[in-house]
Amino acid sequence: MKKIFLVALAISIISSSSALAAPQVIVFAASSLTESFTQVGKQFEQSHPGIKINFSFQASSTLLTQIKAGAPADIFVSAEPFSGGSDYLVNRVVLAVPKNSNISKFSDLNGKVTWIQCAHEVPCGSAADAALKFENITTKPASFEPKVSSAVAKLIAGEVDAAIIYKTDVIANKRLRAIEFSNQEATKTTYQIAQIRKNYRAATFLNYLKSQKVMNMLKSRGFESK
Amino acid sequence: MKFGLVTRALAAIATLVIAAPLLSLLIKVPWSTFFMQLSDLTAIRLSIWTSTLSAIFSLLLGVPLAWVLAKSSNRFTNFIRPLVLAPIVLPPTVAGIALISLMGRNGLFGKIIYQQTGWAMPFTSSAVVLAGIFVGLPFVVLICESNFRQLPQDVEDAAIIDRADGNELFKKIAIPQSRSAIATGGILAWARAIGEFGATLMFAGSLPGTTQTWTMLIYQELDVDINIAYALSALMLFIAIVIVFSLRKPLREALR
Repeated sequence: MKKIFLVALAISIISSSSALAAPQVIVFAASSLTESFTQVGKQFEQSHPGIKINFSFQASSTLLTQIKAGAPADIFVSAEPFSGGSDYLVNRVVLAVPKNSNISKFSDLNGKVTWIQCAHEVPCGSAADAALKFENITTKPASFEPKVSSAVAKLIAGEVDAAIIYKTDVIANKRLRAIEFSNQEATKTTYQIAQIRKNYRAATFLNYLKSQKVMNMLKSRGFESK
Repeated sequence: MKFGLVTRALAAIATLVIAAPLLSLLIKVPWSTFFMQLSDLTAIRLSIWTSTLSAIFSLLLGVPLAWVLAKSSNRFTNFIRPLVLAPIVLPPTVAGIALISLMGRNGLFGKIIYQQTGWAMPFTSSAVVLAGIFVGLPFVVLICESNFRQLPQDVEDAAIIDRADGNELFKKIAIPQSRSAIATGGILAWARAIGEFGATLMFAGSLPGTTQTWTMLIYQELDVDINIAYALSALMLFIAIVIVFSLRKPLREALR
């Protein structure tokens, strides 16, 4: 019994002290930023040895709930506006289809086609709702996916013919191609950013996220500046 | 028996780890508006009938399998026995991907059906039912096999002397003597199916009235109105508590 205690004690001491030893910035970011920000984080760590960037990628609303409940986030990047956030990026929803698909325009959804969109409650879903109003579509989606990643997964797995997802998801996936909505204003989702905990390291990374270098990289992945 | 201080402390912590979150959930529920939060019962109704179907199929398939596994021991059944329990320890998302890879319209078997009939299982209520069977069936097998093994040998021997064949042993001796275990397995399968989330999300999607289950709605409502999520969760917790308390005795007997 004593041994187990000592081991547990040792593990907890080692794990907590190592967390203290490497100063880290904890970034809560919308899941649509996973690939881009992982890369940004690596670049930052290379140019700023001694600072570690830790990401938590989830649905923006989930992250916001966690932050309100006291989760230790230094920086929060949300795919939808939140109180205290300032505009950071713009992303757009598109109709995504496999490269070899016969679907080429929105009216093709009115045939025998299985298509999905995100749920009304999440940003990619509310943008899809708004943009679909300007298209003449009589069929209904087969599913309202609770997050964009599960919609992307089903499209790539070939379980659906089309999905309304982010433009950036299409650019990130070479097997997909995008069909643009006719009303571009409605497709917009605005990402907001805020520093949650005040400290020097977080401020440094926040500036880095807003730097021209990072902005250019994000633009090459399909994001637009605010 | 006298327990040491450390044992008592650890036992108390263990109890708290389970009980404290459940109690806090009950405290957070907006009780004054509880029934208003539950105005839309579509998802609850869907969950109840799909998981009931899942439990029925799990029993229809699981009880015979449990009998076969209990009464034979060869290389094949020794391999099947642990295999059918895999969904108990499998992460639900993995279960969903496995179901898609078989029954999706691009899946191993689903592709043939899709090409022949134009029908695909994902995004239908039958996908919800199948996901429920996949995760619920192992509980029926686990409980019933263990129970079949405990049946008193002398009753079976007497039946065999009276020229009962294997089939009659199963139908007239084993099943009537295992009613409690079968019911327990069925209820556990039902509970597991109604709580299913990950596999359903991957395999069935989320469409109100068709595939948007109770748990899917809880997940969705977290984004909109956390009070609705609390109310939906509390109702599910209530069902879980009723189940575990009513199964206290039969479960202990079945898993002896």
